[in-house]
Parts: sequence; C-alpha cells; structure tokens
Amino acid sequence: MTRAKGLGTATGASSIPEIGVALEALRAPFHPGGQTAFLSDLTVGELILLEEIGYRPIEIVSGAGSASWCPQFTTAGTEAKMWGRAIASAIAEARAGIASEVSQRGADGVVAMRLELEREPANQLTCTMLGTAVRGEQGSGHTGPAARGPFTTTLSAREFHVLTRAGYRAAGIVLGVSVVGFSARSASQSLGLVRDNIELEGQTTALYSAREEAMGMMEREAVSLGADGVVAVELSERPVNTMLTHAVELMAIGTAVRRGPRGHESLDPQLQLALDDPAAEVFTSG
Amino acid sequence: MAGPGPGSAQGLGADPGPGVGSDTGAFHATTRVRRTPTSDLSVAEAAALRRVGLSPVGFVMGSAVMQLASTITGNVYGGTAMGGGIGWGGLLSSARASGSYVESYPCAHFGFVLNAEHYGFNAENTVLAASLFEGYRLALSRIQDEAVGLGAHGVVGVKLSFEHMVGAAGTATFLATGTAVLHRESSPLASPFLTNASGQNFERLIGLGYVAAGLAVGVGVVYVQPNCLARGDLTAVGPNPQIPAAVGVARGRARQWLASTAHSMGEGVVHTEWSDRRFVRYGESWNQLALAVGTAVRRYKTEVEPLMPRAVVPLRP
Amino acid sequence: MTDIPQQQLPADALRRLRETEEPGGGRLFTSDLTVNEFLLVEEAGFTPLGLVMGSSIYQIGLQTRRWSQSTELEKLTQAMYTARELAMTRMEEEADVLCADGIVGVRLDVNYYEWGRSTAEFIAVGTAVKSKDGASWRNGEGKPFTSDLSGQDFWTLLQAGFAPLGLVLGTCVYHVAHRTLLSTMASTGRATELPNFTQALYDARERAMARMEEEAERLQAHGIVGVQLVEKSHMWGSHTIEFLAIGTGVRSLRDDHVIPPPVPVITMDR
Repeated sequence: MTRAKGLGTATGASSIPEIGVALEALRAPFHPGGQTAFLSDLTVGELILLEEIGYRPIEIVSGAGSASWCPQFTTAGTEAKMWGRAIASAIAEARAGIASEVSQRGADGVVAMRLELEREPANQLTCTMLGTAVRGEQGSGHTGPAARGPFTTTLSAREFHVLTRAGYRAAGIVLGVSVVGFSARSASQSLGLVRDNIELEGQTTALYSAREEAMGMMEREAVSLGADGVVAVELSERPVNTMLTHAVELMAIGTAVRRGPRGHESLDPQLQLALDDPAAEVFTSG
Repeated sequence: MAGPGPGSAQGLGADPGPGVGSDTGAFHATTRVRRTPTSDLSVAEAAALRRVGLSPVGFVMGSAVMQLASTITGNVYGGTAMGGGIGWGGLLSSARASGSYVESYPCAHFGFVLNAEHYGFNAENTVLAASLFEGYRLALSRIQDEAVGLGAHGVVGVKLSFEHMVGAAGTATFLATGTAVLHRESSPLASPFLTNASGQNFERLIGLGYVAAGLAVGVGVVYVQPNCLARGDLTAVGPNPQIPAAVGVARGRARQWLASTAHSMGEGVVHTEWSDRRFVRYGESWNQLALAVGTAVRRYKTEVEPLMPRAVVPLRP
Repeated sequence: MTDIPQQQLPADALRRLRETEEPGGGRLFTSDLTVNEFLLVEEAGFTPLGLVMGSSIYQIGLQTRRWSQSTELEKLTQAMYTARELAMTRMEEEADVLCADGIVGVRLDVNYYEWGRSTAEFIAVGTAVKSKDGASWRNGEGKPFTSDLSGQDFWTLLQAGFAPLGLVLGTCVYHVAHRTLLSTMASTGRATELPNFTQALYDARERAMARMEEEAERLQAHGIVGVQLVEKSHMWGSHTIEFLAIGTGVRSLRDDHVIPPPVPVITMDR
C-alpha cells in the first residue's frame, strides 16, 4: 500500500486552495434530490476510514432494554443468579433492538457503538445502545451467506479500520455476566483480628469460578457466532449491594472477530518518535 | 411527523428564513469592542485552520432564555393540572389528538391494587420538544448573527448547551459558543456556516471534499409516568418494556428531526453528539429527552486522495 | 521468599479453557488487548490463545506497629508478595493448560470489597500467546514468559532484539514513624529535612527494588525494562506504605540492538 498524501501533513495554505471552492458551494441552495441524508455520530475522518474499507454510513441506530428480578421468589442462594440473568437479558434485549433497526435499514452492522448500563433504584436496570449503522460493499465480508445477522461492535472506527485491513471481520459484541454472593463471615475475620496471613480458600474459589463463568459465557457466545476470537475484552467488577448478601458483579464484554481467508495480513508498522510532551501517566494496578 | 418540521428549522442551516436577523439583532454583544481576535481554539486547532486558509476573527456566542412550554408542576396523579402548565390529562389528550405516540402501561399486580400510582403511560411531549428546539434555534441564529457582524464565513467548534436557570422553575438557558473564522480572499456569506467540528476535524472535512453546511438539531421528548414495575416496586412481576420504549421513541423522534433539518443542507450529518437525559422530573415521573446535534455536510468535490493511513508505533517518551 | 505450593485450578477454569477447543483443531482466542495491541502481537509473530487469569482472596494478618518506630512490617510484606505470587502462579497454570509460550499484557490488581480492611482480592490477568515459529519461548524455569508490557511495547522490544522473560516484582511494606510532638514543635515554620523520614522511605524503596532485582537474577535476565515504583497505603492508613517495584525481565535475542530509525513526528490532535 503506497502512502497517500496524508491530510494532516498538508503544509501551507497554498497547498489547499479548496476552501474558496468549498465556500462557493455554500452560496448555492442545496438540492437534496430525493435521497435521505445519512446520519452519523462519527467524524468525517472516521467515515472516510470506513469508506476505504468498503463501508458507508446509513443512519444512527439505537436499542434499549431493561430488566428486573423478583425478590419475592428469591432466596440468598439464588439472588445472585437472578441479578446476573437480569443484566444479561437487558443487554440481550437492547442488542436485539439495535440489530432489528440495522436490518430494517438494510445495513450490515453498527460500529463505534455506545453501550450504557444504568442501574435504576431497587431491582431495575436499563441498557441502551447507540451507534452508526453501516452498509458494506459487495465483498466486504459482512454480506453473503457467511454473515449471521448484523454485527455490532463497540470498537471505534479507527480500530475497525485497522482490524479489517489486517484481515479480520467483526462478528459482534459478546458478553458474559455472573454475580457471586458471599455469606456472612465469622466476626473475627470481618474485623480483621486474625493474626496470620491466610488465603480464604472458599471465597477465592467462589470468586474465581464466577469470573471464569462470566468469561466462559462470553466465549460460548463467540463460538455460537462462528467467531475465531474475541478482542478488546473488558473485565469489570463492581460490588452490588443487594438486600440479602454481599455480592460482586463480574462482567466480560468484547468484540468477537473472524479471521479472513488469508489470515493475518501485515500492516507493516513503522516506528515513530513523537516529539510531544509525555502524557501524564496514571498507574492503576497494585 | 408531529411537531415542528423542516420548515421551522431553516434558521439553523446555511439558509436562514426571512426575519431571523431582525428578530434577534437586539441581542448583539454591543458592549464588546472587538480589536483583538479572541478564540477558545488550541494552538494546534488554530494551526489547522490556518492551513486550510481560515483565520480566527473572534469568539462568538448566542444565547436565549426560554420559558419552557408544557411545564407540568405539582402533583400529576389523578389528572389535575396545577401551576402554570398543563396536566398529564391535557398532555394525553393533545398527544392523542395529534396522533403522536401514546402508550399506556397497566398495573403489573394482576390489577389487584387499585392505586393510581400503579398505572403508567408514555406520551410524546411535542410541546416541550418544540420549545427546546426553539431555544436552540434562537441561540444558533444569534451566534450566526454575531458571525455576520464580524464578516466571518463560519463558526467552528460550536458548543451547545442548555441548563435550567437557577431559581426560576420551568425556564432554561440555551447557549452556543464558538470561534468565528474568515477566508480573506472570499466575499462574505449571507449566512455563515456553523459546525461543532474542531479545527482539525474541519481541516480533514475540507481535505476530504466536504464542507460544513450548518448545524442540524434533533429533539425528542417522551413524558414517562412509570407504572408500578418501572417505578421499581419490588412486589411487581414481569418484564418492564416501558423505559426502553420511552428511550426508543425519544431517540427515534430526535433522529427524524435531525434528518429533516439536515435534508435541506447537505448529503448527511456527521459528528453527531447525542445525549439522553431525564429532564424536568415531577416526583416519580420525568421527561425522557433525546438530543442530537451534528454538522450537516455538503460534498463540494468528488475526487479526493485516498487516506489509507500507515500503521505507526510511537516510541513512548 | 516463599515456596508457592502447586495450586489446583478450580474446575470452572479448566472447563472454560478446554471447552473453546474446536474439533477441527482451531480454537477460539480471547484477549483483553486493544485492537492495536492485538494486531501488533500478531505482527510480532505470536498468536493469542486466550485470556488467562489467577486470583486469590487473601486475609492479611495483624501486625502491631510501634507508633514512633520506622520499620518494615514483614508480615504484611509477606502477605502482599505471597498473594500476588499465588495469583500469578494460577495465571501461569491456566496458560500451561493452553500450552502457551508466554503471557503478555499482564496486569495485577488488588480489589477490596466489603469484607473488612484486612481482606483483599489479588488478581492477575493477561493474554496467553503462542509463537508462530514453533520455537519455545519459555523461560529457564520452563514456565511461560510473562510481561506487563503493552502490545506496542512488546512489539518494539522484539524489534530491538530483546524478549521478555518474566514479570519481576519486589515489595516492602513499611511503617513510617510518627513524629513526636516535641520534634514537630521544634521544626514548626522552618524548612528542614527530616532525616529519619528520608532514611525510612529510602530504605523501603531500596528493599523493594533489591527484591525485584533478585527475582530477575533468578531468571538470568539481561535487564529489567518498564520498571514502575508504586507507593500505596491500601487500607492501612497514612503511615503504612507498600512500596512495589515491578518490571519485565528481558533477555537478549541477538547481539545488535539496532532499530530502524524512527520517524520524528508532532501530533496535532490536541
């Protein structure tokens, strides 16, 4: 691939005389000519990146879902499971909603999708998704019999661009959720009066297994999409204060990808020395 | 589509309707004497604009304080209207009359609990949507007027916001700010373009054969009175479709509106900023709001050089 | 410091790692690397195999501290070290199940939930990778290599002719003495060095770094890159501080470590 004259590297006002032409174009009234305007929340640069790998924006699409669980049918043992199921079903509902909007518009998928999960008071939660629906040209890999329904991805347009150029196809977001509840522990342990260092084996196994369960659920979903892998997995955990137990909610979300027929295609990266000031770094791990 | 359509959106684009200048001119920042061009651009942004051939000529703004219509105050249960606005009974009947979206959600307790709080409904609030849209229209036409006053060709990096005014219920302030830019070799435009794109994004836009034609705005509002389930009643049973439906309809309306304001301006809308919020709450009820602001773009040349950027790995400092 | 007993992985872990194997021989990979990192790992000649992790919920024992004495709290040091080692060992065992050559993008986290101040979850997560060239990239101890470098750094490191050997870390939990009222009063309003404090912090950092270097020596590393020195009080209050030194031990792949000259650029995005 030859290096095109980059837009950011254009030098001097004289090299772009187009601004005059561009402003001239604004003097004449615009005649839409029947076709509907495309809508996108992406920048023009991002749209061009998509165009170069064969995708055009169609419209902004959205989906929403919500779920709740019923505490009256719940005991301490099943509460965690119900909550986990509620999260998964809210997300599944939103995903089905956005996928049907994509299909209605004859698009192939959504890129740079925003996924928000809002916890309402009590036993409710709402999941919303929003992104730009795109349609691929023939041969972009998302049309034809190989594709199983529209794809959705939270990857940005840039990431989608490089992924596609490297020979991969996004298959969809996949996720796994599990919630693990812990029973009350002995008072001495919670107060920290134990003199020795010990591993709490019961808790370790419970949390470990729950995390593996969330990851396993995500992976099974990816397999069912016919994917070869899942990238950009985000593992998150947050404590949930439910009525009965201390619980921890574990979630894994990623984008399932398929390898193209030619496998990985090298992008031939080049080393670059940025002359910028270093960004302030925040170390988060312990 | 119910509510104001493309006709009322003219002032937002490159082609403002007649009278826009005259009904907003009184609000010009007459006390500011402009000697030095000011702007909120970063150095890199200003450099990007210079490369395109545009010079910043001043920081401009437009603002409007609105009394919002359809402000329901006080208790809305039982259909009584209190305060200065209309009650939900009025909202329901006006929504039904105009054929816009209304959906009721019965009690999820198998109908055993005969309490008004267990019944809910969603109704499109076209009146509130229209007044929000009008607030934006005014703010945008005023920022455009300020740009005209400076002889500018456009305003880049437009930021739009609206806030409740402190201490004045039912009113909101709409504010648009940005940097007016000028191309010295071109004669002035009757209505300068507006865009929420940054300097760098504007440079890319021009380089890729598009020009910003104006800002497109879309608003959708659905009034939500939640039923027992959507309220989080722990004894209620069943799925809860009410909130997703409200979000979906509000977003759908905002999208329709965005598309129709953009239709007369250009081929498409890019850089759309979306926000969903719960607005003007009354006890357990709220207005589910979807706002979309994007730049309508027009293609001015079709042949552009391909981008196909090269992969680089920066050596970190 | 301590010998870590061979840990049994939970059944769920083994099940997850094995179920993604497809009959045709291929298997589903998962990775928490970003797209760019993932592609660079591929460019570097490795295939991601799967997300691996290890976790340990650890109860940190009680240790009394003298109010006016600066000293290392060995028991806490031991706990912080052992718990991380447990998590990392389990992560390596998961990688073993996948027959991996190494683990990239490892991150270590400590989570506190509402279990009281002395209990924490130590977790290690990374992406297990296998070399495409078929050669073994395992370290001298026969374990998969580990590294907390990003995908970008990993690629650059290999470009420069180095390979990661293992994540090395050293820790030291130190109690810094409180000052007596008299000495505080004596120095009020004056700019003066507090030699005891300086010495205490110096000492603690040196110990953490020395322990990290010992680990690297055991791996026969050529050097340590990407060292980060982290100071954290966790849940212990302001005078008890953990000094954690962490980095990636590397070995040399070839004699010359010349990289193609980088292109100097200034980004204009901000």
